[in-house]
Amino acid sequence: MSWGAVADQLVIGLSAGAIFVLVSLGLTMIFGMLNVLNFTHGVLYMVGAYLGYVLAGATGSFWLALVGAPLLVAGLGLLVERIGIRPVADRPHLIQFLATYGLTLVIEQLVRVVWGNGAYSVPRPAVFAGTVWLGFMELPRYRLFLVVAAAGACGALGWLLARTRWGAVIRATAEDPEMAALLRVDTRRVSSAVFAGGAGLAAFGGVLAAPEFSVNPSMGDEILVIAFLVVIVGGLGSLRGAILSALIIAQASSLGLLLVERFSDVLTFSLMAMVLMLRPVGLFGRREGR
Amino acid sequence: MRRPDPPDLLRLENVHGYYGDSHIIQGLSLAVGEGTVVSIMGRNGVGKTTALRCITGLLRPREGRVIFDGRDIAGLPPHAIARLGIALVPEDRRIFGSLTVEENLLLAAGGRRSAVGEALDFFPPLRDYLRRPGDRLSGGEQQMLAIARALVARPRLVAIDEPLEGLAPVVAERIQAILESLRGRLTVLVVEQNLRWLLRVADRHYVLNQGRTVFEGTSAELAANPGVIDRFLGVSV
Repeated sequence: MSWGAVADQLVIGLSAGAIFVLVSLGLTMIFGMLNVLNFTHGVLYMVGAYLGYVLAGATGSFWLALVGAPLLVAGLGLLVERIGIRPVADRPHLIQFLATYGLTLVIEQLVRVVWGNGAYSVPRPAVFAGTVWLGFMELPRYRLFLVVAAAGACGALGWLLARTRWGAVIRATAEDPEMAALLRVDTRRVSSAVFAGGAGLAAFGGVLAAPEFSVNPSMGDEILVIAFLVVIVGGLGSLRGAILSALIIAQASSLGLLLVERFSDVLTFSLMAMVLMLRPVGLFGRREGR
Repeated sequence: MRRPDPPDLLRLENVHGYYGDSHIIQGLSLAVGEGTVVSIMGRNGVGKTTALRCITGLLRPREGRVIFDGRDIAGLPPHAIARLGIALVPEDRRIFGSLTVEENLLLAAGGRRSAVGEALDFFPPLRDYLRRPGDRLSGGEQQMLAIARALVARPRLVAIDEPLEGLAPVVAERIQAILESLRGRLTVLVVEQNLRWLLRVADRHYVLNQGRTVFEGTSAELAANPGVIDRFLGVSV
């Protein structure tokens, strides 16, 4: 095992982590806000990747796809929230699981009907072909872009939540929806907006992932398992926790490949089980799910 | 000569409120005249807070009407009722701990900084900790912020639930002074245990027992009725 190989794995881990961060942030925000375990989050990511593929193909512009697909999926998110989440918002988590998982199957099958079971690839934008020399290793430009884009999205989200009036409304509604409503906030609309925003973030991750990985109907299931792991380990509802745990999980899984090869997942999941044994509410969690 | 009674801004007519199967409010009727201060009293668990929840939309009455400014608001969602001009200062204050004092006020003011400025003129001590998170305020500071937050949106009626509970006597006096300064400026519905204070500041009183009104009248009428005070409030004046 050479240092070069370790550096390579770290970079792979970082770019995978960037995708995990984007998907998990939406999931944890939706939980923090609506107290709903949203199992449709994975297919929203997947639909984002497909729409990215379609838009990039139709317009010839990856950038249009990167902006357009998340907006379309945010709209889809509004629909999903209305028909799949709101009717079960006050029900136990098991009911929410059944409802959102059922909707997941429907959406995934629709995607298979439209695009088939095969995989598609989205070409990297020409600017990101090739690598940059970091002084000690070659870094594929697109991976660097992934990390920068995810960091930018985190920064923008942080700014929105901490510095804007909208952010204050969202934080207040997450903390005490009844009191927010007493202060004239239409909390249902805030919840819908947060859900749509989370869906858009997942789709943003999906479009970013498309050139790096393939676009296929089961990509949603794979990311969903990881995103739930990230969110639970980070602490349900905690944004900082989601970011930190996404990066740790991505690195554990990436470096694990080097250490124990195909048992990498075993390593990752054992590590996370240990975290939860030591800290059942997760790294930054304050409460356990109902 | 007695002045004519002001028109009712708020009227409850035969309101019934439940928590699950528990019948908490059992046919409550009351009227709050525009510009008056009205108290709701009674022992713990008689439905005082539940009555306020029915008025503000946090609990949908199963029966009866809640008339505000001539319109039946029973069943409207809380934000819609608040937008009509009813504000609540809840019993446990419910300051947003993750928001600063300023953010708490701005949220309530719908983002209007000028309104926040006016509220701060009314509550000067709040100026000293505008950037402090809500969960790092003392009980008295939280109560002051809760009142400021209710007033900043310029409601027509403010409902206040146990504003003096849990406050040190000196702090309670300050809150009392603030509330007394509201007299005549807006309509106030207040739930409190401090009978002596209410007799002084409120125009009318409703004494509740088991979700129903058992006494209704002015301070003079209540003070002249030690039987009600002793039986339903369990205190002596």
